[in-house]
Amino acid sequence: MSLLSPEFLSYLERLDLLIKRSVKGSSVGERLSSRYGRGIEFQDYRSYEIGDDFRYIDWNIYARLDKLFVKLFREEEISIINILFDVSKSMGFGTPSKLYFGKQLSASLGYIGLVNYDLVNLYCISSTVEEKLESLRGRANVMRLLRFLDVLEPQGVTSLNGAIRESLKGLKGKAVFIILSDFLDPNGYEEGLKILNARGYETFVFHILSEEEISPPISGSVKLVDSETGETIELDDIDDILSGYRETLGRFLDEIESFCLNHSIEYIRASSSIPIDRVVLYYMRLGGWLK
Amino acid sequence: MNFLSPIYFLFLLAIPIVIILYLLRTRRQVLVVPSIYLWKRYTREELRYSVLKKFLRDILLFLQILAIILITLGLVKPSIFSFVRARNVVFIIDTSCSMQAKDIKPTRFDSAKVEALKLVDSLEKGTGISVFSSDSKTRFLLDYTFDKKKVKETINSLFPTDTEGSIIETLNYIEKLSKKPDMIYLFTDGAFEGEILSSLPIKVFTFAKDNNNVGITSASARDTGIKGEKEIFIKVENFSKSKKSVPLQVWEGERLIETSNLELNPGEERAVIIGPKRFNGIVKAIIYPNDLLSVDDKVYLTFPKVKPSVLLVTRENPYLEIALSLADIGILDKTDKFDLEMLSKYDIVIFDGTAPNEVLPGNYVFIGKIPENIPLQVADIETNPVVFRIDSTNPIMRFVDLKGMSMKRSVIFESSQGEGLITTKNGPILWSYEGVFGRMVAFGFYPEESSLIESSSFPVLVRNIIDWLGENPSPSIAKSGSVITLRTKEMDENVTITTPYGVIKRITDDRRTIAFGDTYKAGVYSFRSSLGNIDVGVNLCSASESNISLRIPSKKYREDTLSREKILLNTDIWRFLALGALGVIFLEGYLFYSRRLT
Repeated sequence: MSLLSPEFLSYLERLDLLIKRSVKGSSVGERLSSRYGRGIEFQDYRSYEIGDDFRYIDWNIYARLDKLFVKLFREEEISIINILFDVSKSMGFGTPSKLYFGKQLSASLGYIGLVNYDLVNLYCISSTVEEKLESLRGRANVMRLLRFLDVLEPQGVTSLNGAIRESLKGLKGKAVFIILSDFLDPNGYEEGLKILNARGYETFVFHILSEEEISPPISGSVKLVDSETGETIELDDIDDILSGYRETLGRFLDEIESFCLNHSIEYIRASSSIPIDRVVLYYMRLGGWLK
Repeated sequence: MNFLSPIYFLFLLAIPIVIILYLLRTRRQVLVVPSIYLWKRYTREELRYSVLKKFLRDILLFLQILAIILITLGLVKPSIFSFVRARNVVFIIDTSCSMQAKDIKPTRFDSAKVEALKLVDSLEKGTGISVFSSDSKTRFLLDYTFDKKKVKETINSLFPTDTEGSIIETLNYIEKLSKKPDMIYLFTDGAFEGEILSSLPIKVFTFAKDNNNVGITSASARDTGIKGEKEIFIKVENFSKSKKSVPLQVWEGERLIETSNLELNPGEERAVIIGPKRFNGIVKAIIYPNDLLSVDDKVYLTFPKVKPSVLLVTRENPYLEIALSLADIGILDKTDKFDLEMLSKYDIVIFDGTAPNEVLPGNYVFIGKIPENIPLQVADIETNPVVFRIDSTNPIMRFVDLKGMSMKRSVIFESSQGEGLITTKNGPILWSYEGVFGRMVAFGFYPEESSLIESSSFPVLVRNIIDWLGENPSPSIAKSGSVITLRTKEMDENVTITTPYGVIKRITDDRRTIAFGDTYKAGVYSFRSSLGNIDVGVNLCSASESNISLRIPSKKYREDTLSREKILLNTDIWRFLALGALGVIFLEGYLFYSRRLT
């Protein structure tokens, strides 16, 4: 429970994930679908057709008009929310760490899903799915989720494309994918996101940055070691090239944002130094993720 | 390309050392970062920071390596050889007095120098240039060189002298050189006698427009024989084409002693006689002709009074020694043994009661005995001779009173030359001579055997004899460019010479003489030595040089033997390399400190 304060959780109770596409799962849920079907909320009438269930014929109208009409109801469906949380070693950096920030985000989004009776799946990914917590539904699973997140440690090398493909195995029906990552993957992220988009999954991308990546606190001649691969790079007079680095970072972020925009993927980025309540209650609502 | 010192290529070993030091000195801070993905992306590619690329990036390292390479190339002394047409030329610059004429502004000499420098610049690369100057002597200044800068420096260092020219002699000298030039460039005003008959190709550049000049072409002094009085002869000549009215002034020291005005027709020469007079010190004759050359407008004649050096050859003669001590003598040495070489070192030698068989020309006093090779013979010996006549007009007998003089005996001389100063009825017993043998006085009697020795006239007589023998018969005068020889008291003696162009110190040689030849400026040269001050007037006095008219045609005499041979021209480039290395080092320093400041 240390990830989120009780007060913040009380705020989350009132929020729901704003899902635009149909995300019908295998069972009935509490989320109204855009489709007609079984449900309790009346939506419309239509002429009776052979094979329609007699139980839905509106006999009062038949009495007045002498024609058979059946009542149509808005289907109530269950939403499947798949949270892909990047737990690679690169997430262990930052103050607070990107991993901690991601845990808070995962907890928040998972909590929102659970309190809205959605089916929540949490996949901790690096180059593959390292750990997962599946089929969580209802408030009863909140503590399970939080305990699971609490013990997570950074591990593995980032490979978003591989991890997304891995997480899709055995998945049927529509679902929502929320990806929490720093996207520092030399192999790219485009392929994985395109697969999600092609399968019609509504996808949310949350790009987590650390302040150290935005303004590296280094100077002079340095030898940088990649925390994931152990690769090194030697740089001299780093003060001279910092501005060039920042330009590169800016282009990198713009590329991701443009990619997401072009593929109808929701995209938000934030620094891990921003308080979680401001991110969730302000930025996510402002970005149309939550209502 | 050739390397004169290839051993210094070893210096290139410094390059790996610098690289090793460079690698050692780079200590990087190791930092673990989330990912180097963005850094790699920034640097575009991993290879960009490979070892080779890293070196390329570090301009300081490369500047160091470049400096080492340049220094090494400088040390190995690379020489670039190129084939050029061989050509040796000689520049002869006339530095004689007439080149000071101002008919071409600023002077003929300055114009000649400018033209010579221009010609040096215009000569094609690979031309060997040698430089001579010609005044009273031929001066070899620079051997064949390709270095034009050196040639120009040599030409620029030249100045016109106050001496006569010797262009013909210079050409003859060059013709006798083993390495004969392909071309001689002669820069002269053509104001000399003689014809250029060189077998070598020669191009003459002449610098003369006008001949408006009047000059003193001769100056001398002649003894009148009357009490040391002299006459000065000066010859003034008009070389211009117009009649000239020339004021003449003669100064003795600061005193104007003669003034006149000379009317001279074109080409006329006029002799002027000053005196007779007993001249003292420096006599200067000046004319004011308002012409183009001023050096020949004055002459200096100096009449020095030098204290003579005297050698007394005697066994013992206190009377004579006392009398000599009262005379005006510079050096007085006494001996009873002598040789001819020893005698030549003294101005006057007194033989008292002895005499060599032969003497060299010089100034002598013979008492009692005479050598065989002088124009004097012994005619007889007379006992108790009686003085018949005394030549009181002779400077030796001035203030000498011989009344009542008696003596035991005396030699009677016989000579067709010289004069008898004291004569008996049989012939002279005191004789003086001035001629090719120098000056001589011969006593037929021993003074100590006469009443003269006790007379007050004896020291006067001795002083008169010394004064007469030691008297300089003519003024000290020399032609500019000639050698002045001076004898002093000691060997290795410092002699200070004050010249018109500065003070010079010389040391006498083991013969107690100095030979001073740097008399290229007219004026008074003062020699200060143990014998006191001796002034010598140095004058141009040359009709040939005062005649500043162009007397040779300006033309190319021969220019058809230019060598077509090709030679290797060696060009040293190490200086440029050293300069480049220095520039690289400065650039590196600048970059290093500018980086530190930022």
